Amino acid sequence: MKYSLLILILMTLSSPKQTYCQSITDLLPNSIEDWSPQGTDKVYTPENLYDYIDGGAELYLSYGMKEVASRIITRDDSEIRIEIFDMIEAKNAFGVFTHTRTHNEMQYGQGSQYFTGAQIFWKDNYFIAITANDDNESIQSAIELIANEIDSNILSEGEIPTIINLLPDDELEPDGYLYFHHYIWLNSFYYIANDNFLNLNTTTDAVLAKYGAKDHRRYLLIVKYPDNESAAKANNSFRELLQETNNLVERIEDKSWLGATYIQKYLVAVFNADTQESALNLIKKAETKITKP
Amino acid sequence: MKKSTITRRQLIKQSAFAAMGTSLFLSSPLRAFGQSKGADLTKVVLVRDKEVLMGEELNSTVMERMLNDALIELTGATNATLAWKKILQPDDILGIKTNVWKNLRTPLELEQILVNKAKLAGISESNISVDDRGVLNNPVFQHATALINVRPMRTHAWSGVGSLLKNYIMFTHRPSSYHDDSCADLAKLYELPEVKGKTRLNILVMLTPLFHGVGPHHFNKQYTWEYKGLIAGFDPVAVDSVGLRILQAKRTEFFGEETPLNPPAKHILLADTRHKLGTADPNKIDLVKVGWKEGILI
Repeated sequence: MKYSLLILILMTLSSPKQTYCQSITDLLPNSIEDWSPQGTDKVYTPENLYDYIDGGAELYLSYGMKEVASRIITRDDSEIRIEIFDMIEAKNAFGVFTHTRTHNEMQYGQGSQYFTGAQIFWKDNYFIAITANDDNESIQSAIELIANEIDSNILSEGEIPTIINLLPDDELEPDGYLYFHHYIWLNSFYYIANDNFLNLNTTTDAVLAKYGAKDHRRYLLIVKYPDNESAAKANNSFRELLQETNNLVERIEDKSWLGATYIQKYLVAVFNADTQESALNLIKKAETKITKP
Repeated sequence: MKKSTITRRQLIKQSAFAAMGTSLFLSSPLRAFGQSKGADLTKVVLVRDKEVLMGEELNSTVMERMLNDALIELTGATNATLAWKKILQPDDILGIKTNVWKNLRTPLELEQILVNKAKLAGISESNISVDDRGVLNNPVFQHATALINVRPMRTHAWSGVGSLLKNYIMFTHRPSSYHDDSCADLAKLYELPEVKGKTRLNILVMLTPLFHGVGPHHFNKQYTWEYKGLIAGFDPVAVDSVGLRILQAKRTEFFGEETPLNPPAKHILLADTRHKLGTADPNKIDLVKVGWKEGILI
């Protein structure tokens, strides 16, 4: 009995903070010198997220958010809002990050970027946003302290979705991809379709990526379906749009080439290629990545 | 056998989007419309003045002049007083539906100018109210015979843009019931009894529009720019359509390549094609440009 208790105590002491923290607010930082909290910490769930984020809630809901902890701190006229989103799974926190970042500075957590007066990063199943109402040296210094502390408070790391590894490296724009489940984000880089014709949902993993220089931009979409049949169906939907042609790629009105195929559980589609060869090459490279052991 | 040339329109083929999607959502419109401009065009006025902002300071006098110029052009009246009299009647009860989003609100100065113009048109002060989130409980809005819809345009994390169409979402008790399919059917708001047939004027504020959003609250000053414009019209869909094209052009300019709004602002297009509220088709809009032309983007 005594031995078991000792093991339990040792396990508790050595395990990551979130395994024993009672609440997501435990991950919020300690007080920052000269900055005062405005009100108490708040936690919002999908049910009341609309009350909190005026106009942005759906992004987090589309990635399966569980809850968000929020704290506002102030100093004179400056205000910093600290938000920690629990996205349940690391892949969702990663997805939100890829939705927002333009490049990964890798300063905090498993990926981060600083915008004017705003720091975002992700770690494990958490997406963190620290947003100020201004941008100056003292704000930047406070944001740095906050980001460092939250980063330290989250002790574990999450896995990047394996579908990202299927993106061919050659000519991939650095950090030029978006990971998602919800069909609304299908048009993030290139206007593809109005509705959910590829049947994307919470059971599918999708990545949309930019290839080539801006003036030779082409886009690669890879979707992983739960089974081969679903991937085949999605491919059929794509072919219908291409007027049921049997060609792997087709040239369209604006002279660009697009095409799609399916390999096992995966749909692979290319858009906006400037030559038939470049469209086919990109599909082929993705196919190689998918099929190689 | 290949049947005919495949177009990007067919790719974006889904019903309403077939025709207009490419024109409205892409920075370089494809030949989605073959027709030439006809007689039944919807007039929209874009007025800009580089003196309207000095840093963050708004010059009310310039703003009033811009509004006057827009309304004279819009109504065909010979002066601003007559223009306002064409829009408002002395016995009107007027609700000015503003937008108070803290990061980019309708300027207070513009709200005050609108109140003053309404009073000059003969409406008593007690019959004029400016409101956003309290419209459903506001007695003036509850009894309104006329509405003016005024707000800044900005990108929006779910509806693509915060538009005039979206500005009426406060007229419902359940805004989230309009969120399906990235707010595709916001035009239905115009069927609500508090709104239906009452809108006399639409003004899209384009002083410092937000063309890209980051972070949970979707605002960062680095993604605004001093466009210094107002867009006015009687058709909210047409005014939104013009604003949308400017935002899209700015995104292309800034990012150096076609960068669609994410998600696309389909509610503007569907307000035309599905709900027949107005016209979003750039080829059916008579866009009159007044004032400063540099960096106009449209």
